[in-house]
Amino acid sequence: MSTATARPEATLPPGTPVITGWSAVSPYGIGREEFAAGVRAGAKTAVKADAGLGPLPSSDVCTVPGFDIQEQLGPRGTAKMDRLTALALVASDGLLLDADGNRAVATDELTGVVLGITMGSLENVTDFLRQSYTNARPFYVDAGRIPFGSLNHAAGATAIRHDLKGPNTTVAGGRVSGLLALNYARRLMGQGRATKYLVGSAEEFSAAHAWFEHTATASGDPAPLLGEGCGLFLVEQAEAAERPPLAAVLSVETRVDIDDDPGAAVTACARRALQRAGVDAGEVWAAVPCAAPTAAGRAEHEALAALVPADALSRVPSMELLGDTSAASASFQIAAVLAVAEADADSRGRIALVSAVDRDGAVAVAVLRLMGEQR
Amino acid sequence: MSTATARRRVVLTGFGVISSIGTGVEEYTAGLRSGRSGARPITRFDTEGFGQNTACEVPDFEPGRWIHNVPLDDMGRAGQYAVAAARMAVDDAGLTEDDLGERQAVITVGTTDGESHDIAVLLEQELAAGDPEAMDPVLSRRINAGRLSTVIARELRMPNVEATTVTTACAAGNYSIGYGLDSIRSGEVDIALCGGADAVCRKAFALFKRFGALTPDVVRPFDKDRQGILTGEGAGILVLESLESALARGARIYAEVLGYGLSCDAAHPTAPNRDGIARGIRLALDDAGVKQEEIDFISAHGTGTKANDKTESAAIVDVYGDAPPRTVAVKSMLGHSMGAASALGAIACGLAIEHGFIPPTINHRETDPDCPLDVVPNAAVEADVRIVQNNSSAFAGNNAVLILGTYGE
Repeated sequence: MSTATARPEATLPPGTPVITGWSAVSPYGIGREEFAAGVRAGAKTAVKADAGLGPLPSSDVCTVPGFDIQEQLGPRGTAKMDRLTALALVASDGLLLDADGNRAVATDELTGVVLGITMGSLENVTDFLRQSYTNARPFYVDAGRIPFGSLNHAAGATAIRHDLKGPNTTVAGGRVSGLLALNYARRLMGQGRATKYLVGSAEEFSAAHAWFEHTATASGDPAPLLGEGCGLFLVEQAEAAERPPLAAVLSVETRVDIDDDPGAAVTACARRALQRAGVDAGEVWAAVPCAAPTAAGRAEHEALAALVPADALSRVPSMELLGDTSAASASFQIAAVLAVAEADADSRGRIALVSAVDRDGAVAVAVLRLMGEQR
Repeated sequence: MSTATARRRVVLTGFGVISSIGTGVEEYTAGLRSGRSGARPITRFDTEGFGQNTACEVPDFEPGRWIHNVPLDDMGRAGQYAVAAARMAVDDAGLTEDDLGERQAVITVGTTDGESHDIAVLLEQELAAGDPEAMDPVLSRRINAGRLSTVIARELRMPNVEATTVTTACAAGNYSIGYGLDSIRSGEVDIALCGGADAVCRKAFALFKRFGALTPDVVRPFDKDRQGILTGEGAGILVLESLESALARGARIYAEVLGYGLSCDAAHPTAPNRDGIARGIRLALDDAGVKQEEIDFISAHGTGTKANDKTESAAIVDVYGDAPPRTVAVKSMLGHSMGAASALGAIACGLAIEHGFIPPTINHRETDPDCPLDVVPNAAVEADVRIVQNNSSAFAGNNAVLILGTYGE
């Protein structure tokens, strides 16, 4: 290891958030190892949709293989559980428990949860409304499913499962929501409201989601290939971290594209994120755009290509391989950087940049310093 | 434990209100003072078969008065409320588009249901045609909750913002204000537009009806004969500003945001939790540096359901003892406006401080012995109001409590 990258954590200002653990439930499979192996192999994940999903606008999907809610979480409390909540709960187990199911991470009343979403479980809400429209009376709806229809349910259920009584928040922002969640945790830890955070974002695949996305797609764009999953991180502050940091969050910057020029918005946002992080664009070792299958996604890629070294953009395989995972995407992008870094001894001390653009106009960029030892 | 390196003071300099008891600060203040009820027949969706059809709808909303830069079709009803309230709030604060412009800011809107009304309309279209291809793309493009915040940035021409929609259900308004407070306190931004928005929808109405939590007549929080909520709607947006920024431009200051607390019950997905609420209150008082005896009144979550009012009262008594501050429920007037509720509650608190009154709990006949509180029944009282607590709780066990105080000293 060269001296240039030795002990970079020593230079982090107090309060810098550091990522000290991660987990993923993704189209690559259930768990961190499956995700890391899939990313490093650059494997495709699209499969023919399960017939049980009913008619779909596109037969190809990037669902989590073999994800059965009862099989993953047992029979108790899961009969009417939405898929989004189940994805988040399984990811939280992966983050907080060891292979034998024992707690591996200490938590207390200052442990927070912040989860990014798009619009929660659209399957739950449309099923509920369908019952309201088609049953004998408009309120003859399945009461057992109602709690799962609350947009903050997955975050609250994660807290219940692991007894996490700190600030518990759900933020909505589609593809940028994972970065909004990271910034939320950064700000609240900075004000002393939590000392440790579960931060991430999640999206479920459902026929309802697919049809909404299909009808929303701009004419000219193909029917989107949709993915799903949940990426979660353990985030602490550098000076108080109980586990070795994998990456430091040097900056998270956000912007809204108010002029229908997503490329310019990404450029401005990325430049400021780099400036805040105190690093030069030329230092970026890995840059991971969200790769949305839209004009905004293409503009995002061009903006980064004009900003960072060419090999930075090819360091991590494209997120296209996972399909459009919407709210889960930014967390998967960060996890993908960590997965590539942990297999590359040269990554330590390097800079990674993660960007996202959403249909509703939000843009976000995070700049990380990779700090993990090679595994 | 805190590693906060900075803790700047944060004040409220503008309010925007869309509510069932009045649009704009003046009408809303008059509504609160006079104990106006927002309950009226539902017009938004077909209520046939429900056996009741009352909600607290906004009766007189004219989006074109407030929304000039973004096509109205780009947002649903909740988005229109959010944008209109934001426009109103920056006007009220005396901020122009030139003042805002490239300025770095936070825009945070809380919501429970977002554009769930549009989702219901889309489903109606699918059911009528027997084909999901029949869904209107104009609607399906605008159903995601993130838009409630980004569309404000687009309307106000503010690109340099963090636009975060907080979907922590019925506590989301307080969550948003708290996030704005933290963003400004740390010194990272000088201004934040925060609050909440929701629109009456079939989803909420059917849900509370199914839960047996929809009152057949009026909302009577803390009353022994209370029977539940009425669903409501609207938006409340507050301009939060660093004290330096407000003073530098000579802004009118309604109140200071003294602190807030967030607690998670980690216990039950829908039932309120006495310990969780009490912990949220204590965290808020501690964050604000305020003692129990300094609170002049509490604006309760006060939904009017059996479970909430009893549990919340017990939590208040746990913190305050046998002589708690007067505790009022503005939901008696506004119904439960969901994600907008605690934002409208916070504005009510700010107006109470500004004008020296405590809004009433209307429709009140006899206080429940399980709710041993002075609820300021039926008529507002004049009072020197200096420090106020605004409660909120949500499904999933989330509590957010905000403390506002008079600016001065």
